[in-house]
Amino acid sequence: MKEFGFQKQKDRQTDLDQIDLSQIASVLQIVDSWKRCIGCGSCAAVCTAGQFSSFNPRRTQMLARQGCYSTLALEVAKCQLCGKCRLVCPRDVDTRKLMHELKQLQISLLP
Amino acid sequence: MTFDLFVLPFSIGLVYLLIVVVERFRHWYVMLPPAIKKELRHRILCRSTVNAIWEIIREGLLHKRLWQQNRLLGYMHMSFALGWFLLIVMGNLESRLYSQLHVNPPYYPIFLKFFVHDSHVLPFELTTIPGFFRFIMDFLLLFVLSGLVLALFKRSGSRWFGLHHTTKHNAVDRIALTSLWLIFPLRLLAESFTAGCFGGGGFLTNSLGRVLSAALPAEHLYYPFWWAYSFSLGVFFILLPYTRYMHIPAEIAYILLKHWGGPKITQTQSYYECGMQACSRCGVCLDYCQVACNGNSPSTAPAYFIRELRAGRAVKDITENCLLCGRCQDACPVGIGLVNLRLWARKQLTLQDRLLNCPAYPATAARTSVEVVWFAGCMTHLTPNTIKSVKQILQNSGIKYQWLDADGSICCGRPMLMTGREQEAMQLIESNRKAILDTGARILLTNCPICYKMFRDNYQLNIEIVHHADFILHLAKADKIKLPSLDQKLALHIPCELDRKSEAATALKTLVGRLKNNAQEIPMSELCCGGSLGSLGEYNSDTKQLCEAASKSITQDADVTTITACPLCKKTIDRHSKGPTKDIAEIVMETEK
Repeated sequence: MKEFGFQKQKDRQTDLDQIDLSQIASVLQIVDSWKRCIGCGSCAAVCTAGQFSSFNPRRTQMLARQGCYSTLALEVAKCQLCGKCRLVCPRDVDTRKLMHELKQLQISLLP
Repeated sequence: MTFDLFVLPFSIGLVYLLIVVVERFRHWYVMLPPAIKKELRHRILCRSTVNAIWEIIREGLLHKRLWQQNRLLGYMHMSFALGWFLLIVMGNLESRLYSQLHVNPPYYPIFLKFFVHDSHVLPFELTTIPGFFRFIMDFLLLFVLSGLVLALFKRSGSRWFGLHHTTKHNAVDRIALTSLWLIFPLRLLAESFTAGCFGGGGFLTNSLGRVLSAALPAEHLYYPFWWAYSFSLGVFFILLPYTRYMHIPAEIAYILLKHWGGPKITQTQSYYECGMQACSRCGVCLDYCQVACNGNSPSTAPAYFIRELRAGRAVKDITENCLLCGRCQDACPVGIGLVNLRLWARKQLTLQDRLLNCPAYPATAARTSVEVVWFAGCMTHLTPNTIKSVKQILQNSGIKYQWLDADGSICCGRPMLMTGREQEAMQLIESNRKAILDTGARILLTNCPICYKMFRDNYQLNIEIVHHADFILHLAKADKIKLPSLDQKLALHIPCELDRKSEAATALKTLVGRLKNNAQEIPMSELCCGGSLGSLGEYNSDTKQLCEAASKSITQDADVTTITACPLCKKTIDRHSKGPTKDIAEIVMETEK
């Protein structure tokens, strides 16, 4: 039989029953415009930190939405808060404020 | 008889006040790092002390900066401070002559007219001008009372005092304010009634006493008024450490620390705490705070921010909403480092999330023998026209240069610093610093004022740091670049990060002045565009509101081109104003064509 090299991956689905999204809900309350994000990636395209590291604001906000706290904590620390994302966002999301709020969540996010 | 029960409220208040103030001063001294303590002790016997005393007289008593702000306001504050100070000094001298003692109980000079009421020429006055002290004490009391009348008038007519907004006080402040305001009228009435009964007093108290005693039973009234006077003094002294009036002793300590502590004092806990207490909540900053005037958060103004800090509350919104534009700091009559104070409060808020690492420059530039290294800055990469123009200017000038961040750059670290994350900012600084110094260039050129300020204040590069407005002006003066006049209507926006009084800001103004083709003045704004990286609390809607107000102050026409020298200001203003917005480099290159 031909060996395709497929193998079974660990399930990466988010189990919302297992995750406490209350912290993210509180950030959503402060940064209401986050709800408007369509994930277009303009922020990631201009990101200063993104050019020199694996940081990606689009991915980071997605991690936050899905409650992947430990990865989020490591990712959001890379943001340099330069605010360029805010200038290009087509949906007028307060992206810099969002990153700042997510940064402040860190201590409780770390395992 | 040199004692009466009514002196007790005053005496208790005074003793309590002295204990609290000495304890606070001791606390500030103890908290200083050993190196600064040593510097402080060393400088006591230097010229710094003379400078400090002069500043205490100039700002604490005469209120020079408030005079410059508005004459009425200056007079009002001066009459209280200088008038009361002289009343104490002269009262002390007078009481020594009466008692023939060098040391009197502290209450004795304050209530002197109760203990002695002379209307004749006294033996010690024979060698001086008779009635000198009686006259001078009444004159000084009148001087303070004139300030009090102005203070009452200021409640309703603050605009006459050059203030559009005045501070709203809390309950404790109001009680202290009332007791302070009552002190002087009560003193006047107590002395007048006494003069009415027993004679004595100067031109004011004697004549008022005679009128009052003709209409009222002065012999029954004078004693209760001395009680009331003593009581209002006591209440004021006890409340002083917990109200804005703590600025009276704290301002002296602040000035002394500033002069004695050396350059590193501005980063110490004592300096912050002392600065916090030195705020008199005079309200001058309110009119300068754009977030308070044009935005949605009046409590962001430094006066209220400091009030919260004093109460031990580092309120997140108030701490974060500030644009850090520094206009309040320029206007503060006490000279408090308001920007640093805000950053200090932010540092407390972000302490918890300052543990992880920032990315660093992956590779540093190779050493080349260039004269100028150009650091465009990360924000400039969003304004390609500016990059194109600066590049052209550099090429036209024939200067050998290296573009350090042609392939993008990491942040200069200023946004991190502004949010209170000093450690992370240091990582970025170290990384950028190495890359800049590795080029071996003599001049560092940047067209981003945010980077400019950061390089100048935090990088310790020891090479010349030039903003492109200054650079273009130098080229124009050396005839390396031509500046023809423009036909279009212009307006100028000075970026906050350029520091309104800095060399670069002056160069920008001069350069734009050279561009005009007629005698028409170019309207200029020194307000923040609203997009400041200093603000963490503001939403995009707030930015819009602030930007529109700032744009409106210079132009409302769509055919006016707004000139600025900051990529962030350019992007922000372009988004919210009617007319086009251009960087000074773009304008200069346009004129070249």
